[in-house]
Amino acid sequence: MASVKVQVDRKPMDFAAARAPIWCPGCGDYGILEALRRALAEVGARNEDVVLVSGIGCSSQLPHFMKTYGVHGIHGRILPVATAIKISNPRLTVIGVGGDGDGYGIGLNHFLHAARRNVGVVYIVSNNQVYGLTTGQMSPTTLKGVKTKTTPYGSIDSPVNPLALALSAGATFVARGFSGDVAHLAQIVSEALRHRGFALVDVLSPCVTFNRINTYDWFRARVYKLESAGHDPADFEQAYRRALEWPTLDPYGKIPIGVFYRREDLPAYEEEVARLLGGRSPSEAPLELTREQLAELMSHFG
Amino acid sequence: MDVTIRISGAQGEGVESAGRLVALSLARLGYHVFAFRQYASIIKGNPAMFYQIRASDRKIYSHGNWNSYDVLVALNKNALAAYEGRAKYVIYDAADRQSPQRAGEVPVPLTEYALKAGNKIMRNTVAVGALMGLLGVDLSILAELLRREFGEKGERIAEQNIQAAEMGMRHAAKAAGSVWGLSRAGERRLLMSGAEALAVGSILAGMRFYAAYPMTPASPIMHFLAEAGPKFGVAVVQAEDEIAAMNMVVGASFAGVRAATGTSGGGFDLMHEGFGLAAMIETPAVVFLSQRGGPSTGLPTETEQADLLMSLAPSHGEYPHAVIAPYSIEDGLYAAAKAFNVAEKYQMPVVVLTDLYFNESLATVDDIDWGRFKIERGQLVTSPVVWEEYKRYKLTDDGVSPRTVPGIPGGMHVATSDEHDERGDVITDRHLPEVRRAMHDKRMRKLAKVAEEMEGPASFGSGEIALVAWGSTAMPVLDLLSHRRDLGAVVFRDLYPLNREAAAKALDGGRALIDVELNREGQLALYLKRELGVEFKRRVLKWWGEPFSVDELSELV
Repeated sequence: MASVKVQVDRKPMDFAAARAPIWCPGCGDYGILEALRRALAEVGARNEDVVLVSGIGCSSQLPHFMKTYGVHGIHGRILPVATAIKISNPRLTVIGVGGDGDGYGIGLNHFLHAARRNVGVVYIVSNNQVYGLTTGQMSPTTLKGVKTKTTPYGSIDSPVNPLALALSAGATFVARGFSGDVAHLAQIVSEALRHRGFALVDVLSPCVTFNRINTYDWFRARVYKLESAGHDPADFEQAYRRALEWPTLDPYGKIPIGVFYRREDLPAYEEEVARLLGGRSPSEAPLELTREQLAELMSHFG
Repeated sequence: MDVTIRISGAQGEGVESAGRLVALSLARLGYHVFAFRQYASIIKGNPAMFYQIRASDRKIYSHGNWNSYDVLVALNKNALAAYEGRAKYVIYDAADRQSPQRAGEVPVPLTEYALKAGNKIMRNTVAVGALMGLLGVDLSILAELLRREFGEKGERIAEQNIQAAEMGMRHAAKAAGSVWGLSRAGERRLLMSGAEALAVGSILAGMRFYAAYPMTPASPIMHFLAEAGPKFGVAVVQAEDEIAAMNMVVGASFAGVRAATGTSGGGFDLMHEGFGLAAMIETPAVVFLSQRGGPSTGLPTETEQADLLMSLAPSHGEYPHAVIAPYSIEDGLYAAAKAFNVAEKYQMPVVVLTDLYFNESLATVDDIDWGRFKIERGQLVTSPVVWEEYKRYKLTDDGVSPRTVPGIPGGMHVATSDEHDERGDVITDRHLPEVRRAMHDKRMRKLAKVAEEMEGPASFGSGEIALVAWGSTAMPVLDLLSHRRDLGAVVFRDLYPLNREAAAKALDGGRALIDVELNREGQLALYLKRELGVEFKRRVLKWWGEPFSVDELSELV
């Protein structure tokens, strides 16, 4: 992150667009938006150097409420777009933001590959355990037995465990926050923004309209902070065990939030690409070839 | 001088490297060369794949004839049986046949010589040596190429191969003499595959990001870029699938870097949604769509031109894009360069439509016109703008709006796949038909302007009958014209949007039109009928995985 330019005295509202959010009152996405603005101010980001990439779903509307660059792309393809932006210009702060359906359903493939590449993208997943914008169908994180429009007799699918998946895929920063605790979430996002490589921030983010089970109260009764529990984020095995803590297995179980795992010693993907390109990114490579380069290019064909 | 050689053997038997060696040798001697490979989707096996190499002292566009050639090099009995009747001279392993059965047979102890040189694997080199003996090409050309091929590390292997080639050459020269007596025809010529032409054209056009998922016959584009690209600042990403590849292109391009992907029909199917995204958010993107036999997995290693209609309308909805189909390998250089300029000037996706025959064939290219690689970036904004006033999707007469990229102060906006307003703000949370209509019209307006940049079809010859072709089918058609004065040809390259006026003019003139395509339905004819009401007298079509050949076409028309 050394090449990213910072600006001091930034305020959260410096990142607010003219337009007000359009989410349902009480939606968890408000907490994510506020935490993100605070974190960007905290790390001293410049508006023009931030790119928010979203997909499709309620939470993917988020870039419209931010005074930054953004790609509000198609469903499930946040990470390929974000990956390419970061490779092309590593000076940019690239943040993916979308829902659990987008990232852990249709886009799960890309999630695992972004993690194993360790590309320098912060990926914030608004995990509400339901499809909101399409009016309440089962999502990949819907708990088994829960009734939705597509599971009227209770879901028979086991939910995915995004944190365990991220850890297995090689992610170097794995965290979970809660929309109901904005200060804590903002702290996690700040740390993710300072991380070298891929950072997952899964956010427990209640859908107040279509998910009457996983409510703010439901989460408040279960979450606990890893940093208060003596967790060591450098310990992979411990992180993995914590990632498996989830009420699915134990109805009265607790849900850890905070940073599960972090290591900073591995090169980010964009660094590896730049290394192959002789220490520059694609955006720094001149468009036109020199006479010598031209001769070298054509020497392949004699 | 016009000589055609077919080297045949099992896959894994060295046909491929022998073919390349022969093609390169003849290009180095200054001949115009074309080489085509027929093979199957198997790594080792398929007893009689072949490499057909043609060389001439005048310009050629294709592999020439299918049913008759000058020399057959048969590396095994199957190859010998399959093709010997069609060749004037046949080089084969003396161990495969007791005694010659007819004139022109040149048995060479391939295996014996290879073993003598050090390894049985060099049978193909012995055969190439024998072929060169027949052609009268000096050993030094081969020796130079073999040394380069194996490099310093493989010095011993290179010398063994040279020895193997020399034994083959001496044997053939003694048995048959130097039949062709080829001497230097001119300056050394550059030899490249169609895929390489696309890759080189892209690098020259300033492409600095390429993401793709392996798929025949597009993979060689990625192979070349992965090897040669980094020196020129080209990042190559092997994506997890074609969906990712297409979306990566959109991302890189959004960040201001010229970007492309390459695939074949099945991969392009997966890219359609991302292709539409590029059109909707008005971000440049180039897709090298290299056709093979479809549908589904189809004919993975055989050629076809059946994706024309798909390329005209790949994604859902209505949106602007362009389709360019290079008609010779050399033209691949220019077509690629043009695609990047059109994509960026009009902020839209562009398809460069080729096929297996184009991508995998090798051809010598004439003097390259470097002036055709001028980079035009259109409405790219490179200095700060006032955020409160900046409209990324400003309504303009030609439909093109000023485009900022991340890092430009004040240029912040959201590129939105939902319908949006001039600022890029999503409008789909309300019913705003007037905004939708204005934005849709704005995007579609770009097509009229692009059409002005599209070249009309090229006309060749003046015969009473005109063959109408597009893309790589033009290659055998143009060769046919050189000895059929009764024929003319109209070759389409910039397919969409159509330069209607130029197209109508080229097809007018009272000549009988014959549609020549590698598909079953006559897709170009359907397209031209729809666009211009053109009637074709006949259709000459083929859809079983082979390119047209000159002799075949001559009989058919």
